[in-house]
Amino acid sequence: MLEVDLSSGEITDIKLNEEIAESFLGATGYSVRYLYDFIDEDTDPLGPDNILMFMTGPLCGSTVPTSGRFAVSAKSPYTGIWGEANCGGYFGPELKKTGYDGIIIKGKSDNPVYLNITEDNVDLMDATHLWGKGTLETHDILKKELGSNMVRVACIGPAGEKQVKFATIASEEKAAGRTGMGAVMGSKNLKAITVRGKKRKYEAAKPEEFKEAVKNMLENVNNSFTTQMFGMLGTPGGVDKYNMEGELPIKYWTKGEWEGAFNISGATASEKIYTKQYPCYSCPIGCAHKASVSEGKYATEGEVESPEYETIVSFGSLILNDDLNSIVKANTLCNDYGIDTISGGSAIALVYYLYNNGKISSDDIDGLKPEWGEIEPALEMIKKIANREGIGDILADGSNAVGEEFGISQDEIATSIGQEVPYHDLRHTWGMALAYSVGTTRGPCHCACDMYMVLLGLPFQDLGIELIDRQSDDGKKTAKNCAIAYDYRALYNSLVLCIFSNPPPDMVADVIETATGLNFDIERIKKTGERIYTMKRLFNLKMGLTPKDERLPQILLKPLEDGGSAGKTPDFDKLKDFYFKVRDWDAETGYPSQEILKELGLENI
Amino acid sequence: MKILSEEWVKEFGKAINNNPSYKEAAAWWTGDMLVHVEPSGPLDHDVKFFLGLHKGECTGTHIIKEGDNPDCEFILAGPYDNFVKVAKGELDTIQGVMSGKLKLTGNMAKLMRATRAAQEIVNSLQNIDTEFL
Repeated sequence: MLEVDLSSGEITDIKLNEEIAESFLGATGYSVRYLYDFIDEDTDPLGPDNILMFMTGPLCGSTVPTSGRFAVSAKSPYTGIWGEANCGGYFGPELKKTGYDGIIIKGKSDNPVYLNITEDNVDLMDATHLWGKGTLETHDILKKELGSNMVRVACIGPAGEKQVKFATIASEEKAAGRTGMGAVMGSKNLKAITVRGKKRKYEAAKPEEFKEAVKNMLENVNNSFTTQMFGMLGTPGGVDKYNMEGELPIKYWTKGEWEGAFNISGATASEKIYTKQYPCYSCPIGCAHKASVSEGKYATEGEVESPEYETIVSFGSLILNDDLNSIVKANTLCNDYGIDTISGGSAIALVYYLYNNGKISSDDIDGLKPEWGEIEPALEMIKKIANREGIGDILADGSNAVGEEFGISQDEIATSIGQEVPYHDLRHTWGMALAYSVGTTRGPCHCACDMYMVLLGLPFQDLGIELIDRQSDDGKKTAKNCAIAYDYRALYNSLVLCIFSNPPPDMVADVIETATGLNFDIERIKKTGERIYTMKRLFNLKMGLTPKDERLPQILLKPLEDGGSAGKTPDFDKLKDFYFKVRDWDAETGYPSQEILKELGLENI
Repeated sequence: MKILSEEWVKEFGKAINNNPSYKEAAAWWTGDMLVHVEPSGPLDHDVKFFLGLHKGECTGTHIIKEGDNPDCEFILAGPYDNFVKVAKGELDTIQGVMSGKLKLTGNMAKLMRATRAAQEIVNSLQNIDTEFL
């Protein structure tokens, strides 16, 4: 591990704590156990005492499908609780090749710097010339400066520098998007980290068995429908289906179906703008695509990263904009400025909602006129957020700040625990009500408890998942399914594997065992996942989270009048109650029982 | 009638044409489908049948004889037992495909726009008096 104190400039090699690594397997498991001891409720997330960790997992850099991801963690400046985001591309494996499993960043530099890591040297370099540059240009400059295109970069854009609360960390046009990790990096005056390793090769504990386990997993992933679908259509591949079924958020969560969805779906994107797949390291899926728009107002300069599903919703269905080319533009701007397209896009969509419902006027928002379907005001707002100008300065602190500024009820704002909810409507899959509020690890999240995908039929029955109706009245079963999914994803995301690759859990156990040499089976997968999940719960409670904070606004719960989910909504209070019981958490304090903590070996935390 | 018999396959086509929801959901659809039922449980041999599908109509169905190779844009394949679960409404088609119990190949862009139509084809099965093996 590499420890860097930006205040003193001290750079130290430290040993990975094997005990933590074994009990809290992987990136965010290790980070949360480590950070728990150093961060408390009073720690300013944007102050020098917050600690930012870049971590890889035990599979990173191997041939395991989708194992090229890395995770970034810290106390979130956006939610005040656990902050975490992971990112694909090639940075993680390259960091491993330098000989480091992770980086711990403390303190704050007086001037902008970047951290250059090779297998021979680690240096803090002046980054004054990079300050103010977008992420795309920063990548280009650093690769040129360091003399190789193989140098991998993780950097912030102007949004991170200006501590926009939902700023991202970008790497090769991918992003560690949620919970404002880019703002933490910006608060430390750290513009970028560059890595270039050559010698260290991935070594599994049981090489021959590992090869066989990877072969089995790869065959499974290659044959799965999601691999084919996401490979050809990208993550927006589900848009048509979601629209038909009432899962797609439309018109700031107030409509259940929309004919414009056809024009912005992955199917349409594959026919009109995709140029090629652009896979991450060791990924057989290749959901990311390059795109180009050849003519018109939003013509691109060559190929750019194509928008993901969540971005398509933010700048498409949420504001009734069916011009796919304009969404490509919005995506490029957000990527370059380093803005999370979910939080940024949803906050902007809130402005559309308020404006079109007569709750704010053009005068309140710098003269902008965000009529439904008009993308230009959204593009303006993206720029204003990145520069913290005018209405952008309020938007940069998120939807709740917009609500506070204009006296809007919290029930009209699609956030929970301070963060915008992602885009799988909970009125379609009721388990998402828990994913967006109760027991969340990093605020509302579609990756920590992806019931919308699990109930489509992912092969998780060995974990105890029951394939019930997505709108089942059996709240106890829904709560139990969610608890299992939360635990499994806590480990899976810690490994850091991509949730679009879903081999059966026994295959995952085989890969872990042969890679690490630890005895692993489904039971240990479940227990390790629960330990990581519960550790995040303890971190959040330490930061001051209470069960009262775990709520949802009415705009997300009010039954829709049209579409596939019309007239349906979960009984949220009942679900919450069931979830607390399934977890054996105290209803008042939210703390897990001593029995649970003891079972997980966390009783002394 | 006996599942996977020539008579049953013909009836399946009629049931699709008698389903107004399918007509509506698949009004734009063009693309024939080959259904490949693989041996499992009481079925000891492969059975393949053809579904002609064009703009909300089933244009014809027949059992595919060994050696025949009709030109189909889409193929749905899987073991007999899983098809029975789908036919009985115990397994959702999309769940079947996502969990790997059934395999669907073809143009993904078209398929993802046709999930409701696919569901209506399966719903049509409920209107056949099927005798399972």
